[in-house]
Order: sequence, then structure tokens, then C-alpha cells
Amino acid sequence: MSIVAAAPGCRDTQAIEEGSELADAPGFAALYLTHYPRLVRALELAGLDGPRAEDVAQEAFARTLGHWRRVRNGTNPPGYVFRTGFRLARRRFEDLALDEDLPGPTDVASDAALHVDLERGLAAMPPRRRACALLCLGVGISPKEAARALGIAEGTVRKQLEIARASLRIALGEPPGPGA
Amino acid sequence: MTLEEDRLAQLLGSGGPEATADGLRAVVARRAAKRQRRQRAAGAGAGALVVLVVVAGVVVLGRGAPPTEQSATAPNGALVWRPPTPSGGAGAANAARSAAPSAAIACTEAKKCTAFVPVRPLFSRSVGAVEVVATLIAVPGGAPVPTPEGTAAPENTAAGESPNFTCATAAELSVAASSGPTSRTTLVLPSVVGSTAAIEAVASVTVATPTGNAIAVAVRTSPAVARTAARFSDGRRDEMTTVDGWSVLVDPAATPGATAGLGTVAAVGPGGETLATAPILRSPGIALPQFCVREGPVVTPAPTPRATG
Repeated sequence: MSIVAAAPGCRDTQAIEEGSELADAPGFAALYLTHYPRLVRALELAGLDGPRAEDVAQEAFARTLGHWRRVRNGTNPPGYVFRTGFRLARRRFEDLALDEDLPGPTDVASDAALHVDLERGLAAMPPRRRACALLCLGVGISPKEAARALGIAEGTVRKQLEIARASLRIALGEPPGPGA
Repeated sequence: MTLEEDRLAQLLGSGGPEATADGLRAVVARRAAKRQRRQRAAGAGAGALVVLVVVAGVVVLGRGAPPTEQSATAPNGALVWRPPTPSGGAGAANAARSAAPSAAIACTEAKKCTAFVPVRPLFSRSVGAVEVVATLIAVPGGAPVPTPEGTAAPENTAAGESPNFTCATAAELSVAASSGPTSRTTLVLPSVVGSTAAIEAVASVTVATPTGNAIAVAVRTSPAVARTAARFSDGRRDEMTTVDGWSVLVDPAATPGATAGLGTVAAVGPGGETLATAPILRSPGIALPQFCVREGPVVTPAPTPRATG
């Protein structure tokens, strides 16, 4: 509870958690405060524009809340949210017929001048590889879970990760590393 | 942790939006809406109330956006809403009066108006700084129904009031899009009874926000449509799953001063196929006609769930 109360810009979040809305979901508010910005950021980097990324993130958290009792007792609640978010984003890419020219991560590059090289490296990747890199390298979920979220084979995720690692290291000015 | 993992983790931790209490409320409300929809579906028959005519009212609370124009066009051009002239009593004043979700609008075919009653919260969603709240309301006696342009006015339209619409039994979707507390306008979206078109009607409203303009687009679609998606003229996109055939799409930072089409809205089927597209036309500030509106007792809407975006 103290995490919630201390979070900047969330003065009444504690009240929400203490109220009936989240009374039966202890810890959910803390998860939201910590990981909502990261999920939105990850979705933006994966290719969604800002409003849609926020919409997908909200939906991912809403679904997580629906299964909170089970998710909370699981091994990786944040991973569940990220997997849900990317699964929803994947559906949107497929569903949205108008999305022939999805914006790339360069849309948010100005927000993080310190990470320009990294973002450039991500931007150069195909969307699927970018999503694999964000989920597995950035968030830390397993290739198996990422495969399920993205609807592709685990072997494909591993292969994409291998290439993504090399690309990112080059973008960061490091040698590609073994196996590259 | 390798270098690239470390840097990616840092990247994800920077530049994201702030997690706010409002955002958390939105998540909770979305969850509540889902639960409510499931319960509604389980108790089938709740939709047995046959609505002959559906009129959507978009109530926009925004800074410095008084209703100015008076038109709304169905995508096929068949229906055109033409409010009365100022002498007929409709206009910005009515828009402000009828806009508040707690205000009353009700009309009988005899032009006697009573309060409308919020039936149930339909959905709400936030896009950027714009908050959209949609509530399905019932109009016991009727609501204004636009008639095809150029046709004769129905018999129950009082002489001198309006030649192009009448009042009839209706339900209304009241949608509040809020990005500021200072002003409001009303948008009326006619729906075609028995239409087979995937997109039955589209109407939009522009509202000023602290950072520019936002556009809210109300869309009425057929039951075959699972989702609507909009591509705005500035390149932004928005989409949402339809809720009982209704959806509201938002461009939170529209290009100011655009006079041409505001963009395109598409109806997407369950399989992801595009069923229809329609242009988004500029149609802000529709005032309900005077003879169909009067002040009534304040009705407090029930708490509003969030929509699936």
C-alpha cells in the first residue's frame, strides 16, 4: 500500500485500492503503477502509435485484473501483462485493415534522446523481431512465453532473438558477439 | 544481463506515460464493463426492447468549443439532420442545455417532453487527454428523428417548427468526451432503421483541448461489425470494439483548421475483414430541436464501465 501512496501523481490511487474496486485485488495497483508506463513504451517501440498503445495497455491490465487471483499467485505477474498486451497488439495488427503503413519506433525517438542508437537498431528490425527483442530482452520473458504471445513458434523466437542481439550490439557500437 | 538487455530495460523504463489514478480507474472500469456485458449476455432477453429509432447524442466537454455548425450527415447521404433556424428555437443554447448527461430530454409525439432515463452505462474510454463516456438512455416519449432530405415532413411535425424532423419513440446514446471542464456541445447521430449497411451513420465533433484540438467520431454500425477503426487526416489512428453497435473513435490531437475530410472510418468484421468504409465529415454542434427539448429533473447516471478499446 505504501508503494501506491508514495507514487508520484497518484495521490488517490491508494483510495482506489482501498475502495471496493480493488479491495479484492491486492497488489494490482502497485503492478499498474510500475509496469503500465513500461508496457505502453514497449508497445510504442513495437510499432503502435501513442493512443493505441495506451488503449492496448489499458485492456491488457483490465484482462489481468480479471484473472488477478491466478496471476498474482503465478511466477511472473508483470510477464502476464506484457504477454497479454503484445497478444492484443498482434491481433490489432492483423485486424486493422487500414494499417498498411504502421508508424515505427522513430515516432517516439525524440522522447529518449539517450537511446537513439538503440531505437535506431530496433527501428531497423522487422516488426516480429522487434517484438521478440522487446519481450525477451527488454522485459525478460522466456522465448516460450513470447512465442505464445506472438503466435509464432518458439524456435522462430529464438532465431529472431539471436539476430536481434547481434543487431542491437552493432547499434550500440559493440562487437556482434559469439554466434553472430 | 547482457549489454543489450540492460539497455533495452533502460529504454522501456524511460519515456512512457505516467501511471495515474485516473488510468487505474479506467482499467477497473473496463473490467467492470466486461463483467457487466457478460452478465447481460447471460441473461438474454434484456435487449428485447425494440428500439425503432436510435439517436446518438455526443456530449463533448471541452475548452472553448462552443457549438457553431448545425449539420450531421449519414455516410450514404440519405439522411441529413437539419435543425430549425434560430427563430425556430434550436441552436447553441439548446446544445448546452441538452448536453449534460444529467439533463432531461424527452418528447412525445404530441410534443410533450419528459425526462429521459439513463438505461445503463455503455462504455467509456480514454484516448490521450480525451475521456469518452457513453451511456445508453431511453427517451420515454420520443426523440427527434431526421427525415430524408427533401421529403415532406411527417404529420406530427408542428407547423413552423421544423420541416425536416419529428419526434418519435427512441433510445439515445449519450456520449461525453471530456478534455476540459469549461464548455460542451451536442452531436446527434441518426441511425437508419432496418439498414443493412455495415456503417449506418457517422458523425463527428471537434473540441479544443489544452494542447490543440481533438475529434470524437461516433459510429453506429450493424451487428455484423466487430470493430471500427478510423484513420484521421493527420495520420493518427484509433479503433475500438463496438458495444451494441456503438463506438466512438478519437483523434486526441487533430490538425487544427482542417476543412476537408477528417479521415476515414472502417467497419471491420470478426474475421478482420473490412466490411465498409465511410468518410468522417465535419459535423459539430448539433442542437436538439426546441420542440423536442425541455429542462427536466436531474438524473444521475449510474457509474460507467470502460469499453474494450
